[in-house]
Amino acid sequence: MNALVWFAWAAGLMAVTLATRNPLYLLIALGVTRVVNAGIPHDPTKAHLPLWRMALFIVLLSALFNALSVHIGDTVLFTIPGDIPMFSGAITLEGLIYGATNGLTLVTVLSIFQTLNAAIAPRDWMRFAPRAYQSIGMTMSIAMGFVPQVTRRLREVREAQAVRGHRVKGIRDWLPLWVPLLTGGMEQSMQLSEAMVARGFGATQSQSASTTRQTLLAAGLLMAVAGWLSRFFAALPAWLGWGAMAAGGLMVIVSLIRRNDTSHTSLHDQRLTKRDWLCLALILVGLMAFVGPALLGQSASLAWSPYPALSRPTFEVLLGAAMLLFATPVVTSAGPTGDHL
Amino acid sequence: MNLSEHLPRCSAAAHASIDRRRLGKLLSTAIFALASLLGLMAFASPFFMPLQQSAPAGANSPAYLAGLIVLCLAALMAEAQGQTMSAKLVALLGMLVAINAALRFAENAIPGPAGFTPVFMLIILAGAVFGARFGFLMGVLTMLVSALITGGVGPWLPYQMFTAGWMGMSAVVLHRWKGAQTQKRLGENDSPSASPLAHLLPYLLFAGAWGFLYGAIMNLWSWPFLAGDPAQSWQAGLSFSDGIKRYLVFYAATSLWWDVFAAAGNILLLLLFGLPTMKVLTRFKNRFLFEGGA
Repeated sequence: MNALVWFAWAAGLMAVTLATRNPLYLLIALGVTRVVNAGIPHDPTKAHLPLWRMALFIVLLSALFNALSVHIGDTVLFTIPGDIPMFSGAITLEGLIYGATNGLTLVTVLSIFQTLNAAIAPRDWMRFAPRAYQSIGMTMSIAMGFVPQVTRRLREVREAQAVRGHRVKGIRDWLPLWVPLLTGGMEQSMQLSEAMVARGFGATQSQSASTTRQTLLAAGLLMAVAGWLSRFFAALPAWLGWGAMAAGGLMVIVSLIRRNDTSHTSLHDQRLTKRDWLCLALILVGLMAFVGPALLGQSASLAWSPYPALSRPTFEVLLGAAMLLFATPVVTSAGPTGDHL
Repeated sequence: MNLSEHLPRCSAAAHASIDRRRLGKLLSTAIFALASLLGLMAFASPFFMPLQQSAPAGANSPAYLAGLIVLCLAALMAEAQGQTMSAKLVALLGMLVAINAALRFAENAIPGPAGFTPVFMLIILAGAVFGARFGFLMGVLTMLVSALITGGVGPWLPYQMFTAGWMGMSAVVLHRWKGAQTQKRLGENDSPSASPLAHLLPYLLFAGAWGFLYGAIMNLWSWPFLAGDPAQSWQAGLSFSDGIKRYLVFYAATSLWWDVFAAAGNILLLLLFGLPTMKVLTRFKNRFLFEGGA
């Protein structure tokens, strides 16, 4: 599936997750991310976070920390006596549940990004790098391409040192491995730069940005700073500060867009298929169905709180169903590839 | 055209070129200073919000502050990159970032104790040896590339990139300090050379301080949105001094012990690997002969 769809999926589900504190909706969001994650073919070379272990740790720690530090709520479990700063006082069930709900929100956000990382290949991340950052993009390509070589080189150096009788027992023993690794990498970068120049990639000398662009960028930043500072002075109208900040931001963006004088080509097909469009539409419907009522203030079930007395969170079937639409990447990615529009 | 007419023209062109270069350098410094100031203000906004006039709806939301951070980061990256980076600079930076990203990958696989991480050493030394621009890009790209390969992309990434960039950029003070020390030694030919520990001391202090600073700055973006003890949580309407006090209590309760390991790790790595790494970087800097100064 196209990376754009994945970005839309992650942004939509993030908005949904952050719009509620109701644990029932949060659990559905987490479930959706796990189902989608399970449906993605995983790259064995990528590192994967042990999410369930981390989830348990985060939820427990958050619940414990909140219960120990917030002594509000009607259902007192026990009381910590004395004058211990922060901890002394009533430990309530409400505090425990509220902390666990906070932890659940964090775990859901982590799970969304874990799925996004698994779904999008590094070259797709690179594809979305703005053209204004051509040199930085090239640097990133080199870095990402050389990471596997660095680990291979480290293995080679380690084997070579082992043949000479060197054993790694403590952190100090890493020095005979680190210096050859660094020196080898620097030598390789020298050869690479010569090869790049020989093949016409990159310049032989760095060039500063044009004075016009620099002036526009500096003026934009100055305006944004001035706008921000002006908000400290009550005598000045508030719109002046916000207006200056917005204008400054716009000038910065314009100066960055004006750098866009290079073109990108790609060997990979980047068009959206019919299936991608369908997925985007369903994600949008799900987002509007969930966030719309919240924006209009017509959904009381989103803003659940256990304080002061614990109550059962309410559940609206329509909102639950809207969240299930975020599982569409799994459904639409099954079957043969669709035609391009 | 005779020679007497040609020479003043050449001289005028050379002067104009020098003036343009000076102006460019001045503008570049201004961009770095203003973007860093704006970024710092965005990070520190929880302390300033109550002092400012009422904001439009959502103006202090996480999305707004994240947008401001991304904008400053984009401006700094564009300025650090310039119009074009030379092939030598691109290759060298790419290789050092690859080495650092591999270290972070290894750290993810075998986590160190608490906040210990091996990536800060190379960011600091790159900034100290190659200058502020290089150090900034080294910090920013290390975080970005390692996040891509370890699956660490998230809302925290722009903040990590910004803070690591600052770390690399500020390491230029060590570059200047080293330059001043070299000048001093040249002036005192008969003085005995300083011990390795004395030579490393400013680096150790700097790395130790950044072990705490990195954690303290990174906490700021999430602090206003975390619920907890009222004595350490952010609340709307807090005065500046109350905000600072509550943040310090929050930091001491949640992050201090974590950052102690980060600071100790930085110091230990610099003690063991600092001098040999600096020697290698300096040797290659001389070989590359690129304009990597601040």
